[in-house]
Amino acid sequence: MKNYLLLLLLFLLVSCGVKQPTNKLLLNTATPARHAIQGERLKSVMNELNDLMFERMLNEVQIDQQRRYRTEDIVKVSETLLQTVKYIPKALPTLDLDQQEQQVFLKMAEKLTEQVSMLKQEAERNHVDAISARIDHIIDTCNACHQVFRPY
Amino acid sequence: MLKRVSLFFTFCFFIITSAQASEEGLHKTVKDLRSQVELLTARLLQMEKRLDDKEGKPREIEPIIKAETKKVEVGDVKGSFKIPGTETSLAIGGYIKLDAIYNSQSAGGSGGSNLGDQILSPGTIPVQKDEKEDDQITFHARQSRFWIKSHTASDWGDLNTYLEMDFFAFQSPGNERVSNSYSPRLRHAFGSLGPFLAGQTWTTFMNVSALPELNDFGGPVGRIFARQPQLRWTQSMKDQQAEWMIAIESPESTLTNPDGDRETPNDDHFPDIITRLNLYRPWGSVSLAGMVRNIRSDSEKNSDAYGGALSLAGRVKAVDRDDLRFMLNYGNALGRYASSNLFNDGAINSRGEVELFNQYGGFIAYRHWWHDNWRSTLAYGFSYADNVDFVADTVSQWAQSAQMNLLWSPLSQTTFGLEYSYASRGLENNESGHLHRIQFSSIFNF
Repeated sequence: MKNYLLLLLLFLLVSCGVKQPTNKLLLNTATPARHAIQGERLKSVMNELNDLMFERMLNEVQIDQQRRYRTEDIVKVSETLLQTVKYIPKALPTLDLDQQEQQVFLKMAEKLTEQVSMLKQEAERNHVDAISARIDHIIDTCNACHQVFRPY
Repeated sequence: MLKRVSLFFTFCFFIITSAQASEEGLHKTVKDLRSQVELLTARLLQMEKRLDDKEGKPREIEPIIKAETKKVEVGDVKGSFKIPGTETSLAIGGYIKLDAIYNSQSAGGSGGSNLGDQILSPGTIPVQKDEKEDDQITFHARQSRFWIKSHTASDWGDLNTYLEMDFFAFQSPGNERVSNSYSPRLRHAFGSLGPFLAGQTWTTFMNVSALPELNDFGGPVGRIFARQPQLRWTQSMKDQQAEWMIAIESPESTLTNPDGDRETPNDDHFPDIITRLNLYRPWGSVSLAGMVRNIRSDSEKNSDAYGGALSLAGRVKAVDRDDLRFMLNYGNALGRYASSNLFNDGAINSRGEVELFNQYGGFIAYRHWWHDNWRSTLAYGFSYADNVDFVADTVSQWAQSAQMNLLWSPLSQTTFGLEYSYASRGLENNESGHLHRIQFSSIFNF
């Protein structure tokens, strides 16, 4: 019996030391922007969606219902995010950018709006499998813009 | 000798010239054939063109190819596809699970009837007088599961159907000698249209989302757990982030006779009436369920009694991704609904009358995420019955369990885990028994 307990303890210790790949994260480039605050909410809802994969007791219809609740949450977050993303171009006068850089900045803001709109549509249609990849695209867009323009 | 040499060279010359002649002939034949094929192909195309022009319609080869390569349409729920020509989404799935279990002592029978060795069934925890062999090892894949579901959006609300099976059929348990041929059994079979559900599924009294994530199929002592046929209405109250359920469910009474043995009379007159309120909040979800039952006996004389029970359960978000799950149950009709029927619904006295007694139980469980793919659950559960005085002192009075596990999901479709369980049970005569269990499980979803 003692041997089995030792084995379990060893398993616990080993597991604590193992590093696993993490989900895509927003880069901490500076103080959080208003639109970035919604990112945390999205991450939390996505974790809840992913955790449903490990449910053994809920039947599949109940799991579908839980997924529906989460996608409804994502619709709400997307709507809030779209409202805040609208203000990004208004930051342009405060940045010291030449004409070409301004065009890139506006293009990125436009791309972010487009991506968030698509996320909202996918969540409304309950296309659960598409949501994770879309959020990854949004984070890529955010990270790219922050890396280029946050120093300004 | 000279003649022979001349003959040999003459023969060689003849062979070489013949071969050259036949090769030239072959080339000519191939050339002729080619020109004939080209001529025939040209004529065929010419004839086809004439035919098309005459009938005035395009050839149909192209549409046939397109129809063959048409893609399947994605369904309205995860992992589903639409049945061609309908709005019905269909999906199949399930998982393959292997359990490798060590028990400090046997808690089951022999062969395939060793259920107590395979899952934690509190009533099978051996007490002093019936302690069995130490150090039992058993492997099984009986929890492997298959389901099929359909979903159709309609003006009346969503139309869902669901069928699920596994291999824990207790009535035909198979054996472990040669083929481990366990029979499939019905777990869920129901349909729902909007708020109305009919069929067999989890009892409305049970909050499934409150149950902890354990390798052990029996779960913690103190949980509410039953699947049965029912009719249920679920009223959604979206503004209040709540839903209210009311159901009538299949009745069944389990009674303790004065000798301490179990009786299950087949004489039910009223369905179990159950209601539940679910609240969903940003911090988690919580539910309160109430139940009224008619417990009947037909052993010596017809007798019955009405009883009730309450269950408070929930899942509350904790630090980061962690969560706390709990369930508390109390009532004089908990019986078969709690702890896998550890206690009966009531008892029959010497006059053949049904008497109910209070029971309570519950569990608390915390799930911690060590990392994205690593998680653990620590759970504790208990159950207690205030048995009536006239039953034999060999009936169970209490049981408890504690579980701790470490689960690893390298992919979301797979989980490997190791779990330690401790469980104990006590009788009215103060005898008690203990069980230690180590269980490795692997799960592959499909």
